[in-house]
Amino acid sequence: MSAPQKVRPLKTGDWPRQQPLTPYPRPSSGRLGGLPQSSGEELQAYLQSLIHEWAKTLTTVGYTLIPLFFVLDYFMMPRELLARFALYRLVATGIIIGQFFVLKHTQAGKTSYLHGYFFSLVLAEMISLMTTSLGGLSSTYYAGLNLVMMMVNLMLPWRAFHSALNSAIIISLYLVTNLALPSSGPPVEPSAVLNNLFFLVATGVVTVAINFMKERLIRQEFLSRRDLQRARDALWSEMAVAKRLQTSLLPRAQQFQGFKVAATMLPAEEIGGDYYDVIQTGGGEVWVTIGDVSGHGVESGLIMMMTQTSIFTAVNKSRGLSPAAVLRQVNSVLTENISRLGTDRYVTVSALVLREGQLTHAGKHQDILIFRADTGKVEMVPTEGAWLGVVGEISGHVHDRTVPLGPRDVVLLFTDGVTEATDAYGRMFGEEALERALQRYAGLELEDLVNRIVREVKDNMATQTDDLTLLAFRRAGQAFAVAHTGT
Amino acid sequence: MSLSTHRVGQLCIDVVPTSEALRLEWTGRSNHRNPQAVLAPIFDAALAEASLAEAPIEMHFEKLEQFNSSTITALISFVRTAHTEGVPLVLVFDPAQRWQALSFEALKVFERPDGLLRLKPIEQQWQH
Repeated sequence: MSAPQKVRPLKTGDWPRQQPLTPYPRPSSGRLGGLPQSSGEELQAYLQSLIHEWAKTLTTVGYTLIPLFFVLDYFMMPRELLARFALYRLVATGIIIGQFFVLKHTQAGKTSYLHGYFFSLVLAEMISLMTTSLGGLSSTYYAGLNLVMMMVNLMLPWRAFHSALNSAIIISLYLVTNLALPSSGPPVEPSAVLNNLFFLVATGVVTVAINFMKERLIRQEFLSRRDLQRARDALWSEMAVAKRLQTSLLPRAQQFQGFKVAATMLPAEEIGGDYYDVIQTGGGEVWVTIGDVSGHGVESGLIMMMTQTSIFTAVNKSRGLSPAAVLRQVNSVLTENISRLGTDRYVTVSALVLREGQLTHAGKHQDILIFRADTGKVEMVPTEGAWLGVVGEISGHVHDRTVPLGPRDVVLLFTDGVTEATDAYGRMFGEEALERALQRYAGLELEDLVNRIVREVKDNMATQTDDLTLLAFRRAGQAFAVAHTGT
Repeated sequence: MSLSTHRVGQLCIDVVPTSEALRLEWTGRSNHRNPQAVLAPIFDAALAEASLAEAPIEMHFEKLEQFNSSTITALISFVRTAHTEGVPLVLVFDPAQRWQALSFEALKVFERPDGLLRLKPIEQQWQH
């Protein structure tokens, strides 16, 4: 739940700070061809983290399958070779488990891809040693090398170059081991050698091709995700600015004769359309306005700002205007602008001009509540008229009404966020409760009065879904500052 | 007897055809985030049916507990459409509920001499 916004004089530093713009990275002609430098670095870091993480999966698959394949050895191999093969598998499994722990306790980095080569070397050497016992280069046990190639090259998101080099190393190691060490078992058959090498090379080519396509997909996915994140960040940044503007436009502290004012606005999480203003014009008039734009979001906030600006301009431009005349002017501006925006919002506004002993108001907003000090009762003054921005001509509907104000009378203005604050059982706070609260706290200083009512409303509110605005003023015998509450 | 019932979250709209009008009775709460989207099909169907029967549409809000400002926006849009299509529209509300009085009295700007839109406080409600 948001805290009430404390309003204070605006200074230059109060305006939302402009976020430093991140210069778009310069295109690079490096190996990530076409990618801007910083994007290339981000992509590299992303790939390194992926390679590191997936290498853990690779080693896990490795230390699971290597011993498991002993089952195949048991059924396929001569008995006298089982002990040797078991030893090969035991050593290889131990090394791969060790590699897994190294991966687990190190961070991703520029050398993470070396884990792919290391894993391939260990398994390729183990399989090659086995083939030397099974007829050398013509042994069908070479097939395990295809598995290794596929596992490493397809599982690791490294560049196609690494896939090609890794395949070449595996095949070379297989050839060197079988040519360097004496082979036992059946004699070498040239056709079988050709067959094995053919399939090994073909597997290498296929994995390189798949890896090439996979790398492009990962790169595209990374760039799309990065663009999406940037768009999201920009959007949230703009939303934050719009939200701050809503409260930044609230009136600054000022002195004016005859009235003391206290006000608070609790913006909802989403940008709302609540608005209030206290304007002392150059001609010495004191205007109080309160309103609410239908709906939520940036569009409502924008229309709220249009309303504030239009009213501020109108009352300062011409002295002696009546509230109804001001609202008619503002309505024509808003109706035109809302139409240009292609939206269908409307604005509920009450405009009041305060004079000695009376207030004159116009506009259709919430009722005006007046605590009468002489009777101790709350009087409800209904507002009449039309909403702004709905139709271009409202002259026949908006009229001025004048209400007398006695010494120490308290006037309370509010938005529907107050009366429609709903508790967990769906019960709204309501206008009657607000009247009772005004009556109860009317003797307090205005700041305390507003704070107490806000506290009651919040106590009755399960979740804040709308802006909540309260503005109270009373006649005073001397100049007072506009005081704004904070909790 | 209700012809059909539309439920949108906590809002319920019963469409009841009578001999004099197509009656839409609103109950519950209309607090949908984008009521225009969910109400438009209901409004469109009502307009089509009323046009066909050459009958007015009578919307009853007196039992409605609450609606948000976006619902009013959707209602304003419907009022305009009904006027454009020449379908008489009667909005019946309970002025004893302050929020209803505030909302519906503000719609008086749409009342025209052609009488296509009438705002009826509950005391002046037609007898059926």
